[in-house]
Amino acid sequence: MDKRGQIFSLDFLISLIALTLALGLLIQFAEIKTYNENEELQWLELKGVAETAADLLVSNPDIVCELKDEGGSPLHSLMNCLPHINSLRISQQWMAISADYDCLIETPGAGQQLHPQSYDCKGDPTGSENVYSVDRKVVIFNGGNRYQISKGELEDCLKSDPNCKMYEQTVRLRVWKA
Amino acid sequence: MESVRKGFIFSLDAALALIVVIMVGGLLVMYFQVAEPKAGAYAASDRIAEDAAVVGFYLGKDAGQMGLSGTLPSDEFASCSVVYGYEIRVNSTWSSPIEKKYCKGM
Repeated sequence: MDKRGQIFSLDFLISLIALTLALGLLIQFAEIKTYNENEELQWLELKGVAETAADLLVSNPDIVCELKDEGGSPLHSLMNCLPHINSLRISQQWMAISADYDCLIETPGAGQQLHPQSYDCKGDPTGSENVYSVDRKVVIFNGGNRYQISKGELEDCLKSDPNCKMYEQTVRLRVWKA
Repeated sequence: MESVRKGFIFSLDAALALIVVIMVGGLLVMYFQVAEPKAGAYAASDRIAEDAAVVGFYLGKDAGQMGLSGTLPSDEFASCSVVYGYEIRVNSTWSSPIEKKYCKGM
């Protein structure tokens, strides 16, 4: 009986070629997937830092306005209320932004930017590869050098009185890897 | 008489099975790629509605004046924040809470 060889049959050789091509594609796909996953992980980390910082910008009692009673005693902090730039107090630490990151706070479309003398977040994102931006709507309390607002001043605004010292403003926080 | 044995690798069954596995895998990958961006948009809607409610409360503005809707929109997804006021009625034995909604739809 004439037995044909199995190893070098045409079927086997063609399947070997197909298998090699498939393995090559699989390895390439795995490399691309690993690279994309690393990039996405860095982006998610940046997003987490930026969104936490934005939440703290509008809620940290060290940053936002403070309501006081007639006697001047503090009552509680007012979320989404920022003092005028002359008395605005901001630091990266209060927004839980580590030294690995840099930030910039700006007011898009407004004539006056938030650039008081003593606060962090004055960086320049130009040239940074990944920059995450978050917009938050706040009120700016235009009470001179004060960050404390009295009950009477708050009530003026609640009733839309012309004497209201608060105005609506969008604040943009940008965060990137330093 | 010799019997002819056909090769196994390129049988029609194997090729069809491979195509089905690739298609199902591709569909699953595409589904999860679409789900992730939607989650981010939902979180953004929550933030927009909450900020608008607080700022609207401070300035005595309703949802329309803040660029949002005062009722739950009929979109695929909507997020609402509610501010409660209290209306005191003189010469009456009851008072009622006032509800102001600030809704952002997607």
